[in-house]
Amino acid sequence: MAYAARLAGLAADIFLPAIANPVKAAMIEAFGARLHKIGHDVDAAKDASRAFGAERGSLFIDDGNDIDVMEGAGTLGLEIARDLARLDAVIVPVGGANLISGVATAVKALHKSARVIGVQAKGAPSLYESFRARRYVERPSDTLADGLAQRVPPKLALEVMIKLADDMMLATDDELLSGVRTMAESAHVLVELAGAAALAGAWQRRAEFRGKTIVLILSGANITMDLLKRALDRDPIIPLAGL
Amino acid sequence: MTHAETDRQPTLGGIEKAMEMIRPYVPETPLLRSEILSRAFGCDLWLKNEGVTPTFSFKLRGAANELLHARARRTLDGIVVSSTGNLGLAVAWLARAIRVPAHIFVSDAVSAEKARLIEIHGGAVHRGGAEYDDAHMAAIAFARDNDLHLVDDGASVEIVEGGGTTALEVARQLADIDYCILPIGGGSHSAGVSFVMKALQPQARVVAVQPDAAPVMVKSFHARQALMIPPRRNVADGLTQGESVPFTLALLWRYLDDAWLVGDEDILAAVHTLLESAHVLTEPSGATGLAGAWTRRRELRGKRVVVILTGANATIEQLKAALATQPFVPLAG
Repeated sequence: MAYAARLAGLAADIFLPAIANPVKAAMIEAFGARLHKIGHDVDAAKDASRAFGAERGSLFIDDGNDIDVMEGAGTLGLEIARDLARLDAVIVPVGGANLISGVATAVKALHKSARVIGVQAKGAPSLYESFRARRYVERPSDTLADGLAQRVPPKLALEVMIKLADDMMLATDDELLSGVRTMAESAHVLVELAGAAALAGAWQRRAEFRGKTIVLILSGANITMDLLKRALDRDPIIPLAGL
Repeated sequence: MTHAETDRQPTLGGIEKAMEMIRPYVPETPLLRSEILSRAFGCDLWLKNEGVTPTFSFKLRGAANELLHARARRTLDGIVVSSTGNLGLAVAWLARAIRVPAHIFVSDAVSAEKARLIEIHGGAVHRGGAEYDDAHMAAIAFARDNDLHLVDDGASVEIVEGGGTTALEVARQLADIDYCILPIGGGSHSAGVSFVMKALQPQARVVAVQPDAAPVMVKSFHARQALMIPPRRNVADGLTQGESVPFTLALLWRYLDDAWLVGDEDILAAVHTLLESAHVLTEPSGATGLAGAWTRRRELRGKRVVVILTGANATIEQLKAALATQPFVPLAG
């Protein structure tokens, strides 16, 4: 948002929870936005930003309840669907389900039989539980994957996800850390914990995916060096020796 | 043994043709401005990330161009190459794509991880001796004895032209470049990149950077003669060789503007800085250009600078060593 606002020549106020990822906070400030650190989690920060926007008469961007944000995220699914002639499954990290909703909309329009599967952090399973129950379920959030930490399911994203996603899974923080290590070691790509969720989920279901064409969405790379060190000290989720 | 074409000089037409031939195998790589590093270096800093090709380095460009041309000329029964790792991986990958067996000669200095990666991509790995130059001699003999196609990095205009496609992408995307800085090993990439920049953006100064423990090409460039300097072990395994390469040197004397040396500590700090502030994974060799830019940042102040990150085949041990150094800038600053 900070980057896009600068491109558009607009002022941006970005609300992060008080204990925010310092890498993300530094990047937001570098792109010229005003940073507000407030609330104990992302949903509390969201409440504060909604109130701030209403008070000032500014546009409040409600990720997960904004069709434009969702369709923007969906361009990722469009790129995948256009690049590949054959596509059996797309695995997507899920925080507030905006990404999986946009991606599923695009992928299923172009590849009718492709499955779209979401992976959420085990310590923050609100969307997972909501998908299972097919209704709104709030759950506490306790995970190292700040990109997946969501307590409150957003209404629009939840509706689309329940309608279009084929399945939802959970990954532990240990699996996410080991996934970061495997992405660095075997794919030579840096990802944050949220960005490793698709790999962790796909590895759990590898028997089912044998011989299939699957795409893992690596949703981000804004990892702190402390977490990266922890990830590199772990065993990889996929042992290199067996390949 | 059949040999690559060396009796002609690179041309812009040859590089444009190379881009067309390799495109089905090598997608265009990203060129992105880094806000954080622009501030830290005091210049307008852009990163061309060659670590995201299918074999995680720029080497696939030259390998693909050379092999696709060779296949157009004759039937290939097998391909032989010597490599510090990344060219071997690129040749193995492309050989499998065009269904030709590949023999990759590496020195003992090449990590087990890189050797394994080459095998996973279908290449037969041969250990050719203690140093790169030993592996190079072994590859030449093997190709001659078995009458196979030798890919000779540093003696092939097609590898130079393939490598030049990196700069063709850069020069078409971004105008008014003041500096283009990249790592140098044997010099074929630097030759191709400097050739293209001189043709399309002649105002840009192209600078090649080598580790000070393996300085043969940089010292040969400045001395205006082909030297031989035994390398010491260093963190940039992809840039380490002792013999200079006359074919690429002749091009570098003509098109390259400057050549710098950097120490191991700065190379590892560059890897750390790229991870923390640009969120990009590079191997030490691949980050050597950024290390050079940091040591010369006064000269770069206020300029538009493109740094080419040439590869991402880092081992976990290399990444851990990088994270143990101080990055150039604290992110919070």
